Amino acid sequence: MWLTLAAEAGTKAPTEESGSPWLIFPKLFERLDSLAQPDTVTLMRDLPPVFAAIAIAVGLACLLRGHRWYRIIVVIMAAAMGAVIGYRLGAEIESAEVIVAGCLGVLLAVVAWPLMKYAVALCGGLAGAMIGANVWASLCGFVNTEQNMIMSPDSYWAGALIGLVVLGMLSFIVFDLTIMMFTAFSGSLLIVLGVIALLLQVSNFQETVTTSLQSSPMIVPMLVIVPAVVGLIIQQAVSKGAESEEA
Amino acid sequence: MITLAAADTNAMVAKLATLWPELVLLIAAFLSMILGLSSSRLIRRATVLLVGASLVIAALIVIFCNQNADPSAMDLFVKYIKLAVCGIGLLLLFTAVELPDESGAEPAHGRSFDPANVSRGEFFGFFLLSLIGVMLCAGADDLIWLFLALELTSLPTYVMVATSRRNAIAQEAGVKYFFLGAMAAAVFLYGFALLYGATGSTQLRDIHATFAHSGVSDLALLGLVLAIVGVCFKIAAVPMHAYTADVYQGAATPVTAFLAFVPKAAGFVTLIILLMLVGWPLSDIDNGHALMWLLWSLAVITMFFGNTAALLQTNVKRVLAYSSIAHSGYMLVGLTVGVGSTGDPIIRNGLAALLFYLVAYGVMNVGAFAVIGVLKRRGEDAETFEDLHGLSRRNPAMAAVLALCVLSLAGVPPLVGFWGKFFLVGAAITGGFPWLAVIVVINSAIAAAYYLRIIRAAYLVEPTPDSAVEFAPRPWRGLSAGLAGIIVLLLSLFAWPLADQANRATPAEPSGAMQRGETPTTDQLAQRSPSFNRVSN
Repeated sequence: MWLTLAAEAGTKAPTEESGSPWLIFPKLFERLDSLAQPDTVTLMRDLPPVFAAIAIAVGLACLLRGHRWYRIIVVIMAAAMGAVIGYRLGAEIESAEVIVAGCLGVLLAVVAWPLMKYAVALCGGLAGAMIGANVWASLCGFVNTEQNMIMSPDSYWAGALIGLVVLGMLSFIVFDLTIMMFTAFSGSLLIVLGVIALLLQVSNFQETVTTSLQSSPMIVPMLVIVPAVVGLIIQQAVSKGAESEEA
Repeated sequence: MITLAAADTNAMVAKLATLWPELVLLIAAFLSMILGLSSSRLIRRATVLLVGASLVIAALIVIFCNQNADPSAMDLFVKYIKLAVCGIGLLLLFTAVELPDESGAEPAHGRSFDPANVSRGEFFGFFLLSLIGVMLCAGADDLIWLFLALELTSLPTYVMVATSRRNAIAQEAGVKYFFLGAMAAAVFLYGFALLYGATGSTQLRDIHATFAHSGVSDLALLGLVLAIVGVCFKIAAVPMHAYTADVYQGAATPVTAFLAFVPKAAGFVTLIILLMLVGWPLSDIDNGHALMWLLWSLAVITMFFGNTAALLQTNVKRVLAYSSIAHSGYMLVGLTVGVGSTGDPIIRNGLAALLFYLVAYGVMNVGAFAVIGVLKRRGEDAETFEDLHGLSRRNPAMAAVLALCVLSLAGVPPLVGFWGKFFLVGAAITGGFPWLAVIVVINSAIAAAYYLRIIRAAYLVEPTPDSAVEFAPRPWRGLSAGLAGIIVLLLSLFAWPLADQANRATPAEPSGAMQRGETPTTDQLAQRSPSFNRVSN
């Protein structure tokens, strides 16, 4: 069945402009609480299936083996962050987006290696910020009613700040656990986004998936968090097993 | 528009000019964090020199730069706190120099270097960041600034507690401290939010002006009460004291010494600034009675709780933890009494007595903890009374420092702790709180019982033949203990210069506040204060 779906998805080529992952991912993460915004998640329908498959594969690797390969993951994340920031800076300063993006990406990747400890803290903090913002936004959808606004959805940054401080700080206390947490979360996020992208390109599923995603802002965050927890447990078990073997 | 922008820029430049000491420490903190990851052991070890030098430079900047011809009491207050933080910070640094080696923050000899497994640089970086937080608290002119400065003081300490020892007890202490700290932060942040709601501004001078003009509304009172109760966590006062003993015991001794002074200093600075918004005497202000009785009750309960709980302990670090709670109670007496009239001696000035006591407590405390930190039992911190047995024979110098600091903490004359209590009691009597003075004296008598137990263990009890306690080769910690002992002696003999500085450094109003009698216009107040609108209507 999956092969049929993949074949069907493959026949639907997105437009060159809208289908670029370099445009979709920055747009997707413009707000930290984007997972709780179903409209934003449905942008994934424009992602080419090849990239969706790559996202799923990379996500699986991060989810299950993140702890082992964390240095490479952190360096790639630093490069990606540098590229995104550089792209924006380049567009504002000299219209030299690609050059500035490349330079800043390489620079951050190079700096991240010797400063791995702080790079992990930063990655952990950012993952925490994303979790915090999405939990906040999801809770808003859960507790607010039309008559009674208990939590302001626009204050999602408060949840992001809480997550940033908690996970950023935890990385100095329980370094290994923080690595497992943020790699599991990033992996899970990539897998879920990849699967959604694939499903949204299959005409039979498009409407059902879109309706399901839009039924509640809690759906996508829950879809991400559940595999992340599973990945965390697996990584913890694998790492303990490796430690006892070494001993 | 352009003029306004220029004015804002000038104000920002003027503010930045007062922050040079903090900027120096901030640069040193980041350099320490980066150099601490160097593969060269020598460079990693040099981070402590960098941190020490930055503290000395920051102190020199405080002393010699930004000298106003006619400094206000607020300027002197900020200067006093910054100097106290740099000075006692240096003593705390000496106590902690050897800590990264003890806590396994360095790779063992023969093992390959992995930057992920070293934490010397980050420990000293966090150390400095926490000190910067206290200094920023003193210079705060805005509630948001004050909140951020308080959190800057606290957040690094959570990590320092958890990483100070490589065992589950330290991690448990760190996590406990963090979660309770987060709860306390939520309480005082809610208080700050209510203060903003009641006055329409986060600027301290505006809030002060609103209170001076229309009194303290019920909403503002609630905000102040929540803020005070939340800050009680930082000073380890009842009702937010529950973490103290476990966290002090769980952390390594140098970190415990740090916790006993740095967050407490930040907490008291914050309380002074908050109560300055209302002004003293508290009983003369609308709703001020409630604040006065709140502080009175907190002081009394904190003193009694700390001292009686300390009596029941068998672990010296727990004794000092509960005594730390009691000392917060003594200092709250100074806060209840507040400032007297301009030109009053320290004996009539509760805030000056508090500032004096804060510095004295910091030095005595570092001395006592540094001595305990030198003692080890099978590689772990020696903490019980039995571990102190026979200390006077094994190391008379350390025993003498411990005795000096502990007797001073007990308030035995003519040591500096006695002068501190003398000023507090005097201020309480002259300020119209004779019962508070009596309670301080009763509590000092209770405290003497457990402090004398420590002296007895060190001087009068022979060690058991199979005692595993030994003196670890910790020259820096020994130096810190020695320096603290010398400073306690000097302050005991020459208490007046410090008392005079403390007296001059007691602010009556927040920086930039309007003078008494000079009130803002009704329109100005109505524009920013919803509660003022309600009062007027």
